Amino acid sequence: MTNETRQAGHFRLNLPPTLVSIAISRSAVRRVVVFRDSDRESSFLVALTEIVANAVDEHARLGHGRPIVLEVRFGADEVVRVIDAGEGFSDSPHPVAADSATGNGDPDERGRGLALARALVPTIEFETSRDGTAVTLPFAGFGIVR
Amino acid sequence: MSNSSGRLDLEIFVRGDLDHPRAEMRVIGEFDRLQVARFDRASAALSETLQQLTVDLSRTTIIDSAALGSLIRLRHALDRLGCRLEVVVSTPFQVTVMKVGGLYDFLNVVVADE
Repeated sequence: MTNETRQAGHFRLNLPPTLVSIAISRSAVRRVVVFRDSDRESSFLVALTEIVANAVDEHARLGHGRPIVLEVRFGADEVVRVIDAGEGFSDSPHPVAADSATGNGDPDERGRGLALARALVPTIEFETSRDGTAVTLPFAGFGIVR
Repeated sequence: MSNSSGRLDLEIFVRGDLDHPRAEMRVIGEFDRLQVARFDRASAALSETLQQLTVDLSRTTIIDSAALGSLIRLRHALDRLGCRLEVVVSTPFQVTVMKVGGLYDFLNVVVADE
């Protein structure tokens, strides 16, 4: 029986602060992660979609042309991180009232998106600093990096 | 293990006859903010004589908050026509998205067998 220790490492992609980064980030993660099943894959990728979309929105709102960074860590600590230059999120839970859309038809997509990300990947972590925001989505329970 | 590379981004099928009161839209693949414009265009082309529309999302692999926004717009447009909307989902992630999005009752979500 072998006791192989996997070497830890990471790689980073600089993504343009545009919507195409949503598709690029999902594609990159699909290429390097083997998901346990298709439902976990969808759950993880919806959460990633919301976080990257939020980063794109933040860069647009603040007029930043700087890239959004997608970082994949593997080995000891298997996570994907999305790092942007935005002003961050509220770290409190962001519940969405049942059938809140019955009002004026103007849904709070941003709040709904963060609520989805938290519900689908409960171990998600948000860190905000002067330089921006880093959101960490652990792969544990969803899949492993190839 | 899941291996889904190479999938189509989004397919939308509309079934139903002109002037028939019932129709079905089947959405397959990734229903996200990159694709909602296509869904909105398909929705806008629906007959004004519809009385019931079923949107089948059971074969979607992504449903994001922008897609939920699109479904909300559709529900409001159908309300103006007096048309009932029903949304079909089947997988656990789809159910979670509808529940967390607060739209389970608003969109008359039905859970079909996988």
